[in-house]
Amino acid sequence: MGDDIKAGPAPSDLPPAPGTPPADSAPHEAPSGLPLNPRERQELEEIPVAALLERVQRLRGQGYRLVHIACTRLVADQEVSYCFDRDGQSLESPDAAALHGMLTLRVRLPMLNPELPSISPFYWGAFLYENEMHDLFGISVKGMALDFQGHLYTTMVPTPYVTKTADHEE
Amino acid sequence: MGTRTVIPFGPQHPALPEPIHLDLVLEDERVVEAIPKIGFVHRGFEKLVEKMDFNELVYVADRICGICAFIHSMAYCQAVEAVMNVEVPPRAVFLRTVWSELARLQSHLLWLGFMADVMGFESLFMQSFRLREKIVDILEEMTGGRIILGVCRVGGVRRDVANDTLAGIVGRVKDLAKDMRRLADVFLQDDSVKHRMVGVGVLTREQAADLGCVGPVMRASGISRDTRTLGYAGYGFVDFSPVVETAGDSYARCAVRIRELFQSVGLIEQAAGKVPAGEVSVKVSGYPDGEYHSRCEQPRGEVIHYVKGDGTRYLQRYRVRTPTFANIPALVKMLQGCELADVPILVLTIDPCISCTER
Repeated sequence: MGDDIKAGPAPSDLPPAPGTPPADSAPHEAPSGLPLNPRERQELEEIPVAALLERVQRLRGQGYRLVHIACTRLVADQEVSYCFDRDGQSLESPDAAALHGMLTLRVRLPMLNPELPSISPFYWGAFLYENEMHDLFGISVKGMALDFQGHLYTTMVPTPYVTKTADHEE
Repeated sequence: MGTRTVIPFGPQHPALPEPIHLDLVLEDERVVEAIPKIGFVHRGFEKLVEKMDFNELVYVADRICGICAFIHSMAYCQAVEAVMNVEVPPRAVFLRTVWSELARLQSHLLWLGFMADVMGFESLFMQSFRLREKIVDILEEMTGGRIILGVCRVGGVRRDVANDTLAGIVGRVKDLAKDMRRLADVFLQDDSVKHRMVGVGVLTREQAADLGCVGPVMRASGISRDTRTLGYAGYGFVDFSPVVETAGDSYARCAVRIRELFQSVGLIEQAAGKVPAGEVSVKVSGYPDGEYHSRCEQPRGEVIHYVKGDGTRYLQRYRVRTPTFANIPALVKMLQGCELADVPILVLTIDPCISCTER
């Protein structure tokens, strides 16, 4: 499995924050056994675009759920994060109930003419995310279950999330 | 096979005053295909990361939705707090839990009102809204805001609530539960209501899982999944298990929301009883450097607030995946095979929030 997403140590490892009441005034007991306001374990796996479909198909076979897909514009390129979880089960041990976690598959794409294969053969509902990627980030997604041909969103400028506002006339 | 006709449904239509469009392909009166169209009023809130720093974005998150505003701001704050290793004081954590459940109450009562209105049951609509108004009044007394509460901040909450005020609010909410019982009896037992909902728009457990449904839509199909089981905020410290129905039809989706009303009353009582003494916020210094997917259970289901910071005051990315966005594929499947007259009911049973979806 890949790296943990950088989100700091678990709350139990942290020193008490300023203003936090002492531990003996902690609010009773947790029936769930969880700490107060816990943070989820989130793992990151960077993969090449060529490996995306095979990896997604395997996750589908293992019972993972597609949580969401997010694109991020970086300085010279952009990244697409496919986030999955397995309901109520940890990522490593399917028997450990109630220990949730999220697995992110990440691919990097060039800023110019980015292309991705659709994962809708495995997750039909992905077509909305993929049309969004196309309309807001200019990513061409091949083989979508439902292709809106660039008309899912009505935007003033094409692919508005690829170009920073400062680059536009305001 | 009858003649096929395409009927445009929306973006202006009687089911709800928000713009969603469906191209309905009909054979006689039966829908054989539905093609959704959103994006009429996409606001591009996420792009505001280029202009507003991570603290200012709390106000943006609070304004994503005009119904479930508070949980958006809480989910955003939790994401930034996770990235910045901020420990929120326990008092603020439990106040957030109380406000989340009050927000769920007013949202579910709003949905019940809309559903009664779509069925033409106007007195039921008015009773639902009468009860919702009392919840909104309570929120106003606690926070100064009725829907957009503006109380969350990175590091805690902006307002404290006196313990005796909290106790009084618990009493008032429990009193309201008696009125909700009468409302629930009509929704669950009245023949005209059942006639419109029982067996309409069935989504099987397998379909709900395949389509990535969230919230009451998914739980009505027998899947016991609720983001609150993650234990975020104070949910790990209260007795909680998801409300589940198994029929998968419109009636089951209604029943889940109704049972969640009473569950929320219980959660408010539990959380308010656990609010400890102490501060309600901590000072936050530095800038976010890292990323986190924060998820919370909105009245409509799981919402994701993803933030990615690069150590500057402006986030590199802020992305919101709303529950309605995740439930639209299920709506498309649900509509296939239904009667034209049932389309408004089915659109409403996913409790669509286009305002959220057009963030």
